[in-house]
Amino acid sequence: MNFFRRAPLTAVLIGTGILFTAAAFVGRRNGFYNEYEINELERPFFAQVFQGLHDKVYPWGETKSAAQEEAEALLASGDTASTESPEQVTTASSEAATEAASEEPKVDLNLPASSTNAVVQAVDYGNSDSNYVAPAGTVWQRDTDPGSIFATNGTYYPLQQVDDSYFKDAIFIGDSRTEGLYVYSSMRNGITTFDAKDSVTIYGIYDTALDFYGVDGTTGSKTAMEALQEKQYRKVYFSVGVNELGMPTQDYFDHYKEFIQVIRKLQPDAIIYVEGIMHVTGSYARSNSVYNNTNIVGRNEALSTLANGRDIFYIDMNSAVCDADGNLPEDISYDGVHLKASAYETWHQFLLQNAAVRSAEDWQPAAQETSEEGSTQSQEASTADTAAAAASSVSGTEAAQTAQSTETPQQSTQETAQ
Amino acid sequence: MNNIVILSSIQFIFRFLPVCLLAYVLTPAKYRNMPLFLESVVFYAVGEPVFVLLLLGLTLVNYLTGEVLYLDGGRTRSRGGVAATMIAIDAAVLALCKVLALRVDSSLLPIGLSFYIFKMISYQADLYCRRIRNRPTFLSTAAYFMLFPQVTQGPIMRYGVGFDHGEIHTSPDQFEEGLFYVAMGLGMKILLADRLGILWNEIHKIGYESISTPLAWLGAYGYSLQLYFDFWGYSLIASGVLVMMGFPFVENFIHPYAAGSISDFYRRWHATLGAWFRDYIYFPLGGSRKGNGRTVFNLLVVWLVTGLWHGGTLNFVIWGMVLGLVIVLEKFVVKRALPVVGRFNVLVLIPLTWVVFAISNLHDLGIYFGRLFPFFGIGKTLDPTDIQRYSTMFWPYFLAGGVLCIPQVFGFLVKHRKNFFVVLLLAAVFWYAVYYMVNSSGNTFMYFNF
Repeated sequence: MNFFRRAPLTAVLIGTGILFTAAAFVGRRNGFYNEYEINELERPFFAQVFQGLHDKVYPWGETKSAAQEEAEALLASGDTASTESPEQVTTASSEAATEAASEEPKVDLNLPASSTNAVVQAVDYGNSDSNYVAPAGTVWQRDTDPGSIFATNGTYYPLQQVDDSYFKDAIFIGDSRTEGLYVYSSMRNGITTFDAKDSVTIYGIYDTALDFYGVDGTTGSKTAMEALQEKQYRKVYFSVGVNELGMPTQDYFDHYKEFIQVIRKLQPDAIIYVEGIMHVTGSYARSNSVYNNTNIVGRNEALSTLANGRDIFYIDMNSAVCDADGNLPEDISYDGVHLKASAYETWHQFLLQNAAVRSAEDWQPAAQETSEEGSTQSQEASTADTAAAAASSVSGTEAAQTAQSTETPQQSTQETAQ
Repeated sequence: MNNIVILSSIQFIFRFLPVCLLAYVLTPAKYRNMPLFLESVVFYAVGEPVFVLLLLGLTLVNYLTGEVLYLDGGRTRSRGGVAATMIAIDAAVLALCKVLALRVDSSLLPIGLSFYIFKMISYQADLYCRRIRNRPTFLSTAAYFMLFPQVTQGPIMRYGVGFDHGEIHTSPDQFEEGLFYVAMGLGMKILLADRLGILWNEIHKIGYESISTPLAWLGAYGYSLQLYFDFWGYSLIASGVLVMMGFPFVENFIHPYAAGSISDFYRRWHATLGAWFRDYIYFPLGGSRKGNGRTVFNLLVVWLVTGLWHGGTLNFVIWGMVLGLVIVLEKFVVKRALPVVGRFNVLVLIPLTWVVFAISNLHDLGIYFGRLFPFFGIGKTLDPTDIQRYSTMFWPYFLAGGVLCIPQVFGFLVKHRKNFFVVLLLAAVFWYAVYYMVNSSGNTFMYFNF
C-alpha cells in the first residue's frame, strides 16, 4: 500500500500490465490469437491483446459484424437460381476458348481483346517479399463452374468510348485513390455517385462506413453494402488493393471474389467493373519489398480472371498513367503511391474510353439522338412518301374504282373513308 | 531488434529498458558507470555496428585529452592549445561526416554524431575552464558521451549534471517521477505528433500546387505542432529514463510557444542546444559585451552555424539566417513594441520558418509559400472543400496540441502527478500509445539524421 502511495503510476501500470498478460494467455488458450506471432525477444506477450483489439478480436471471441453475417447469408441463399441461365452452355465454349488462349503465360483471360483490358505489366526489381506475392508459376484462371457469375456465355461486349452521361447511374466504390478521383477530377458535381474512403480494404469493406457523395449532391456516410442496397445502379466500379499488399495474394483474391459475388447479388443487372490496382512509382517500388509493382501486377492478374466480358469487366487504368516500365511517373506522384491532385483527370479520361454498353439502357450517345431525329425526319419523310404513295395508290384505286363503280358511289365513298 | 535505438518503440520500452534498469539497480551505486557504459555500447552498436568504433575511438581520445587538461595544474598556453586542438578535431569530424553525407552517401553520417560531438566539445571546454571538479574516470567519461537515452538525439547534457558528484542514487520516488515523464513523452509523440504527421503527409500527397490557402496554413501549423510534440515527447522519454536511473531532470523544452519573442523562443526550444551555442560559441566570441556591431555579428554567426548543423541544404541555411536576422531586429529595432511584435513573431513567423525547415527543395518551398500567400498566381486550388475535410479529421489533435502548449496545463499535470485521476489519465495515455506502437510502424523521430 505504501508503495502504491509513493509510486501510484508505477503500481497501476504494473497491475494493468499483469491483467493484459493474463488476457493474452486466455486468448491464446482459446485459440483466438493464434494468427499473431509471438516473439518474446522483441515484444511482450501481451502485445497480442493490442493486435487483437485492432482487428476486433478479443480474448473471449471475435465479433463478426452484422454486415459480414448479412453478406454471408446473401451469398448462401439462392445458389441454385443461376443454373437456369444460359450459362450451362459456357462449359463447352469456355473450354474451347481456353485452348485458344493458352499462349498467355500467367493469366488465362480467354476473352476477346476488345472486351477486356490486358493487365499492365511492370519491371520487376527483384525485391519482393515472398510472403505476399503469389508463388512463381501461378496461373490464374477464370471460375469455370457453370453456375458461377464469372463464367462466360459467348456474349461479349466491347469496351468503347462514352461521355459523362454514362456515369449518371454508376457508383464508384473504393479506397483513397477513388476518393481522390472524386475530389480532384471533373467527375464531381453531379456526374456520378461515389462511396469511398482512405485506407479501406477488402477485409473491412463490409463494415467500414465510406464517404458517400451522391449524384444528386447528397452526402453521407454509408458502407458499400448500404449504398448498394438502397438503390439499383447500372454500373458498379470497384477499386481497392493498395492497402492490402501486406496480405497474401490468394487471401486477398478470395475475399475480393466473394465481395464481387455480393455485389452481383445486390445489383443483378449492373455491369461490374473490377478496376486494376494502380501501380506505384519506380523509386517507391525499388525501395519496398511489399508495396511494389510486382506484387500489384500479380494481384491484377488474379483480378482480371473475374471478368467475363459480358457484365463483369476488368479495366486497368495503368495504361493511361504509367511509363514504359510500368511505373507511375515520378512527376505525377509526390509520395509514390497517390496521384498528385492534378493528375486524377487522366483516370477520368481513361474511364470514358473504356466503358461497356450492352443496350440503350446503359447509355445512349448524344450524337445518335440527332441522327435519330434525322432518321425520324427521314422516316417521317419516307412515311410521308409512302403515305403519298399509298395515297396515290389509294387514289389510283379510287380512280379505278370510281371509274369502275360509278354505278356504286357508296362503295367508293366507303373505300375513301377507309 | 534494431528498433531498440528508437526510444518510442516496443523493443526499447518493453525489452531493452527493463533489462538495463534491472542491471543498473542491482549494481552498487559506486560502480554504476560500468553497466551504463556497457548498455550504451550495446545500444549504439545495434544502431551503428560500424560507426560504434568511431564513437569509442573519439571517446578514448577525448578522455585522454581531458586527462591532460585536468592534470595540468597551470594555465600554460599549451593547455589552451591542447583544448583547442581537440575541439577542432571534434568539430572537423562532425563537419566531414555531414559533408560526406550530403555529397556522397547519407549513411556516412552516424546516428547522433552531432549530439555526442557537442558533448565532447563541452567536456573539453568545461575541463579547460575548470568547471569540472572531480577527476573523470574513463567509465564516467564514456558513460557521459554514450549515455544511451541521449546519444541519438539529446538532450545535450553537461558532464557536471550527474557525473561530477560521485554516486547516483535511485529510489521508488525517482522511478515514479521518471515514469511520469516517459508516459507523457510517449503520449505526445505517438498520440499527437504521429497523428498530426498524417496531415503533412496528405498535403504532400496532394501536391503543394493544388492545396487551398487555408489548407496551406493549417498544414504549416500542423507541422509546427507535430515537430514540437515529436521532439518534446522524445526529450521527455530520454530525460524520464534518466530520472528513473537517478539523474536530475534535464529540461529541453520550456513551453516555447508561450515565449514573448523569437529570442525567448529559442531559449526555450531545444534549450540544451541553445545553451550550448550560447556557452560555447556566443560567449567565447564576446556575446553582447563588445558593442552592438559585434553583437550582431556574433548572433549571425551563431545562427549560420545553427542552420548548417541542422542540415547542409540551402533551405536550412536560409532558415538559420532568417531567424538570426529576426532576432537581431527584435534586439535592436523592435524594442518598445516587443510585447506585441514578439508574440506575433512566435505565433506566426515561427510556423512559417518551420515550413522552410520542412521543405528542402527550394522550388517546392516557393510553391508552398505561393499557396500561403496567394497573391502571385502560383498553383491552383483543386478542391475548395479540402480545408473542411482536413479540419474535420484533425481538429481534436489541434485542440489537444494547443491546450498542451499552455504552460499551466503541463505544470498542473506535473504538480499533481500522484493524483488518482492524473494517474488514471496517464495510464490510459500509456496503453493507448502502446496500442499504436504495436499496430503501426510509426514515424521515426524527425531529428534522426542530425
